[in-house]
Amino acid sequence: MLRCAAQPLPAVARECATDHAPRWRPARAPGVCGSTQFRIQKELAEISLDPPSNCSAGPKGDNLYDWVSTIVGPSDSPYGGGVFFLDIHFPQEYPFKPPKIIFRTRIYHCNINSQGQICLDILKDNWSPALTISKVLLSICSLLTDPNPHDPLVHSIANQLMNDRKEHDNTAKEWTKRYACC
Amino acid sequence: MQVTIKSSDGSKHQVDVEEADTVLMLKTRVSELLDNTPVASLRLIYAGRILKDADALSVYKIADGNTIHLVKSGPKKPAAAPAASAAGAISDGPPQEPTTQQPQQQPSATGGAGGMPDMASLLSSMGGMGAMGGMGGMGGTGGTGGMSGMDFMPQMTPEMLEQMYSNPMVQQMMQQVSSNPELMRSMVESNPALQQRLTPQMREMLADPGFMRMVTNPDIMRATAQLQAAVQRAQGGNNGGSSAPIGGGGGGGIYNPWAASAPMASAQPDPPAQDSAVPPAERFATELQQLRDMGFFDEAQNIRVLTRTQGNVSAAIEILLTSPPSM
Repeated sequence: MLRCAAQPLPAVARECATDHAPRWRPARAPGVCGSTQFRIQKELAEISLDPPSNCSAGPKGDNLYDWVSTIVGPSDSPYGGGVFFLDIHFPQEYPFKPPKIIFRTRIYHCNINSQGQICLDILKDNWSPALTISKVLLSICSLLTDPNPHDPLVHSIANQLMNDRKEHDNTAKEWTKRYACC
Repeated sequence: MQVTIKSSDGSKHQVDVEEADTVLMLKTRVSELLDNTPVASLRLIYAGRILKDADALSVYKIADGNTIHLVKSGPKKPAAAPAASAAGAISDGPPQEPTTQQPQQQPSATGGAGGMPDMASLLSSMGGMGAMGGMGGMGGTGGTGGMSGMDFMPQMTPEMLEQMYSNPMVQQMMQQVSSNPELMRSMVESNPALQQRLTPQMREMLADPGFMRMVTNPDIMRATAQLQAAVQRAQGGNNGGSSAPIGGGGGGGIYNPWAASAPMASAQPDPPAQDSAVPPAERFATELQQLRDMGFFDEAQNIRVLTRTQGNVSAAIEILLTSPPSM
């Protein structure tokens, strides 16, 4: 049923963790990994200079691992005109573990629940270190345009989407107007 | 330095700016590029933040070559919505009509535009704070004693609170306030009317980071507002006598900020007796309407869930969304 919600995070290669580190590598404090920081910095530079349309992101404060992001609702979706805020948290093992992304703005969407958790394969088992935060945000954008009612997080919304698309879109528009329009 | 303005329709514009320029100056430039689109309807977004008119570009660490997103919107301004509601316009459930809101919203929109450092939104959020302080007190005292904070904004309904808290601008403001106690203090001190009403206990409360965290946590405030509504309802039906156990559940501390939220937990396993007197459909009429507005059409299920959550809409939604009982 709630396949997406119940699924535990897959075991991903943790190259940063000390217990798996090769013998010749000096022992490090667990989770501290210079390459993670370097990678995040690289992504920050990239997203500041050439962000994907509709998405922006940057560190919340001085902590490089906690970002805020906005997604502008795609105009060909019922979320058009809304600005949705998201929180991004990079784990210490990034990019070997996916970033944690949650919606801060409420949204009526069958793959996003009231806590803002997102059901998206690339944020769970299909994560790949080759993905960047830009690409993930773009995927979330396309999730807004094309919800996936076959692997939903909120069943009632998914049922409505499949049975009564018009009513679903109306409610989604209403919520966008109410929570995401400034 | 040069920044790129990327519009939501995909068009790009290069604009020359100085780091010390304010966001408003940049918006004026952009509006000239876009056939004088009204500045108030432009929203600039950079690094996950909506840029505020009065701030300098350096505040957001915007550097040469960076791209700023542009979103055009109606003249509706969210920061003013709570202010408008506070002015006495009672709104229920569904979003307000932009036309009726216009006159009240304009001042804060132009307040920002006039170079004033967002005083309007500061004050409106301050108003919210006053009301919330009151709410905390109201929950604790069972709705009778009331703290002086309450009459600061007498007509704050749970729906309005709900609306206010769901507003991203207010959320941002809350975050700012909660992360910076100094800002809160200076806001209070700059308002003589408020200062007069502050008792020493309330001052203590404001200085307490725990309380500030509670006040700025929308979930807790929503729950408090719901509780208050429930208490009032109970009083209306039963001449106030029955609200005592609810208030008492929190330890009876009038100024104890946790008193308001503690009963939420204690009320759950031990539902107050007066609830059975009125049928749930009547008792939760407003909550049911709210749920309908949000797209939950199964009346029977809504009633069942609301009864379970003691009329707490947020908790009801939680249940409806996470584990639909019918499935």
